[in-house]
Amino acid sequence: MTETEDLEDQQGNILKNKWVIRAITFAIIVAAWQIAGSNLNPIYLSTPTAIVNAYFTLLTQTGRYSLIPATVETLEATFLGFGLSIVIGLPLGLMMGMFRSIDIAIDPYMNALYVSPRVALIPLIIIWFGIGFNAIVVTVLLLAVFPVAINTYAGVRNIGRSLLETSEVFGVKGMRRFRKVLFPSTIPFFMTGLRLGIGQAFIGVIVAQMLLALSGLGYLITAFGDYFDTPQLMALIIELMVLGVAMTTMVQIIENKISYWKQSERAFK
Amino acid sequence: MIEIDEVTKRFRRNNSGKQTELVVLEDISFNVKDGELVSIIGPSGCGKTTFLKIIAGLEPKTKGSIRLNGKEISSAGKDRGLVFQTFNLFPWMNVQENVEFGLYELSPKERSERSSRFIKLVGLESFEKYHPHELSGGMQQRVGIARALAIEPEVLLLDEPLANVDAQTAEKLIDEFLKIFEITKKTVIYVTHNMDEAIYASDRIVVLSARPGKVKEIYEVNLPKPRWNYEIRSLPEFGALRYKLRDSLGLAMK
Repeated sequence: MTETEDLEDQQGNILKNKWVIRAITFAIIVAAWQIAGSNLNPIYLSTPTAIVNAYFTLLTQTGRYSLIPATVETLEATFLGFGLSIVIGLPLGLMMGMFRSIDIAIDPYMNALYVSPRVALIPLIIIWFGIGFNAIVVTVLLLAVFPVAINTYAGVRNIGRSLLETSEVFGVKGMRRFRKVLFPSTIPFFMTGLRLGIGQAFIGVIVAQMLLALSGLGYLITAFGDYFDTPQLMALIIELMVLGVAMTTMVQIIENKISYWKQSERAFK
Repeated sequence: MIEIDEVTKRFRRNNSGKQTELVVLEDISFNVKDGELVSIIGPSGCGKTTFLKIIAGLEPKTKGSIRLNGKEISSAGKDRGLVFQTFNLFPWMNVQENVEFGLYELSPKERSERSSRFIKLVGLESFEKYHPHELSGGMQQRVGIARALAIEPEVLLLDEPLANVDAQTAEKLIDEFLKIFEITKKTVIYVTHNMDEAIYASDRIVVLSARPGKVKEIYEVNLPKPRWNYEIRSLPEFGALRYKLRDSLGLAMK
């Protein structure tokens, strides 16, 4: 058996054991939490059992603190804001990448906004859009549009000179070159922008709901925090984690499907 | 017929305010007859790839003229097909789409007929739907050849097409390429740094010297045809030419 085969074998074993390792870690954390939580004031940590109970209470109750409408509303705002980020960010990134003058004109503002804590603009958004759904969607847009636009831009700027030369040799230019060469080569970068953007969108929606909504998951978190209702608060935080992972995984799956050629290309170069 | 007349290429560089000039190619002149295969060989940095790019119309020349069948060449055009050292296939297109890249002017029916004809010629039928990352280097370069031939150019320009292919595959591919050039009756300019490849394939070999690239020597290759025969490599004439070529390349490097 050669050395590389050995290595592969080891990694194969580790992979098989991956879920066992994770299950054990999870069990230890839950057990420690249960013991620690039971010996402390429940306001500080609560316990896994109390959190699970709280989760089912939230799930089954109706009215203002009901979990399902809050989740639906939060996801709606996330996807609407994220969709708008794509509709605006993709053409913006493409234009900046393709036209030097647009790049020069917009770049300083893009950069300044990108590096600043954009949630600071929320009060201004409230002045413009009031409190409610619209303001939340605008906040999401403000957070998610930048990763989408900037990554798309990077994609256009990164196209290899050799592929452009190839287009020239075969007489492919103008719109045809955009469709056949420029745009497809940008897609992997754009998808990276989506993956980063969906995370930002989710942060945006929760922060906005915490500050300016009377419904949604962000609002519930603020409300239960105010009541010192730690089990309900923890249940919501865990739901946020699960939703966040689910959304990025979803984008990752689409990414692997669409830019199937990217990985092997990287390996080749 | 390609007439190359005193082609010179200078790059102007700005070295912290000081303008310096780098002469890459100087007064290159030679002709290529129809159906002829001419190799351009030279030490690395002699500007042979730049020279090929000038013929392809990708790079402007500083001075001189290049005429293809009497017509001056100034930009890229479909009368010349280029095969790249790094294949330059589009990774998101399958084999057929890559071969059809330059065929947008044809009707869909003509286009697919044309591409399948050339895919067959390079022996890749049944790989039409494969993407470049699923193919070996040798297969990728076959696609590169098919793509360049599919536009039915008068001249085929090859820029070290086998430099990124392993030695065994290269030996097999050169035979296939020679057969294809014979069938399609192409005029070929073949840039390489491999002496054996140059002797084996060429009717004539142009040796360039290093910086600035000048025509150092032009050798006629009078070996028997067809060339796709390994025996040719063991002929005494092959060895004699190799010796001369080596000598003049060695001198070219000084």
